[in-house]
Amino acid sequence: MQDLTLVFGAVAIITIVIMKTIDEDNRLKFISGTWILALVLTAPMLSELWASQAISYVDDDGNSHDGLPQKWNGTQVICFDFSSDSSHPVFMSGTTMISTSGESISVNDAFNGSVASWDGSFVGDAAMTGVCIGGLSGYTNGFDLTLDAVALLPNRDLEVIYDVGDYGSFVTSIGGVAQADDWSSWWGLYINGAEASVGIGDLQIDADDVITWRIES
Amino acid sequence: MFDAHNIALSATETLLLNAAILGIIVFALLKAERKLDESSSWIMLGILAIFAIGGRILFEPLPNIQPVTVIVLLTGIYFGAPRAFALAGIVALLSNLLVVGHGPWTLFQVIGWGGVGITGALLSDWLRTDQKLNVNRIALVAFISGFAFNWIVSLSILIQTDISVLLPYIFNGLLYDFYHATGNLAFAAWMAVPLGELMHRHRITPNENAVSEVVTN
Repeated sequence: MQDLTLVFGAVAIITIVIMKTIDEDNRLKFISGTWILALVLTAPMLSELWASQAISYVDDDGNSHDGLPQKWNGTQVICFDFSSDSSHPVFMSGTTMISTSGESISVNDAFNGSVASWDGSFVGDAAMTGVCIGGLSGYTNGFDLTLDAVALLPNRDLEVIYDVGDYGSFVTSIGGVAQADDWSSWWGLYINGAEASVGIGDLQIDADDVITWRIES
Repeated sequence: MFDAHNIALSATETLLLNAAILGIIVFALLKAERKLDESSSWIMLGILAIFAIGGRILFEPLPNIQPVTVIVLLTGIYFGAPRAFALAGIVALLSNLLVVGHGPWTLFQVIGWGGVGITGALLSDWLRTDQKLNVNRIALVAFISGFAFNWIVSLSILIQTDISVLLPYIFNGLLYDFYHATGNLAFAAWMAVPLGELMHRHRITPNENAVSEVVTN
């Protein structure tokens, strides 16, 4: 952000200098050249800044990609919702959007993930607390996506612990938040807002699916 | 074995390579242009199409910066709306097929660039004062055209989504519209006069048409 202010402050000064010194026929050449150079050099920073601003204008219901960064449209996304047991030490408020490079793109305070609750009632406006990792592609199996996505984060903030039983892999703990031994809380699995009908190891996913893990109680 | 084509280029390196290739094309075509018949406006249109397609492909490493919009605008001014529209179609289709990607949006690009050509034709008297291009006015129209063109192309998402997505989509793209508009500003500043002179030599005037028709009849 500071870098951007610096670059465009310099651009403004150079523009004024060009206006004062260069003759009218060539003025526009140098001004536009300066602007293009500045825009191209700051393109990655600018687009990140813009994406984080634009996200708050995105409609939040209907499509499972709504509320997620628009550049994730058509890609695979995985979300982790700690809202009913918000004891995750890092992701305590809002939903942090994390890119495939493991960097935080933005935080959406109103993201609800369009997730229906396990008993069928729609969670609706209740904002989710946690993380979404998006921009992923090429996965066909939900478990592969889960494990690879959490590995993108530094510091193992979302470490997944699972058992392999008779019915396949079973996730017992994510990011240090574990299911209760007496089953009063557990990690629920959703795909595109609907509860998954199979376990994570058997979950087939398409190119633009959104998987959500929620701690339920 | 040594694989001569197995070289990974960075965006900057690709750009420099492309700029060198574009330089060779422009130099060769400018040499050839001097030998053209004064009234050969069709060959001139072919050369313009090569400029535009080449420019679009070669500037691809830069975000949304390409010379097509300005070339079509100038074509509208000198050769009229129908030929500018034809040029827009050829450039959009060929450059999308060759590199950028062809789909339903190509039709919207043809309409968008065609619209820019029509604007150039309609405003040709205002954009040229005493047979001389008014670069500042062209730059203004080119800048606005950047936004207008992108919004027309944005309409192509209505094929698969409903209208409520359109405004957030356009908002999300405003930064990239600005890149296009600023790129147009630079191309207008640097290219309008030399390209205008080129086109002026092969322009079609009402008189010329009348004469050639009399002769062929």
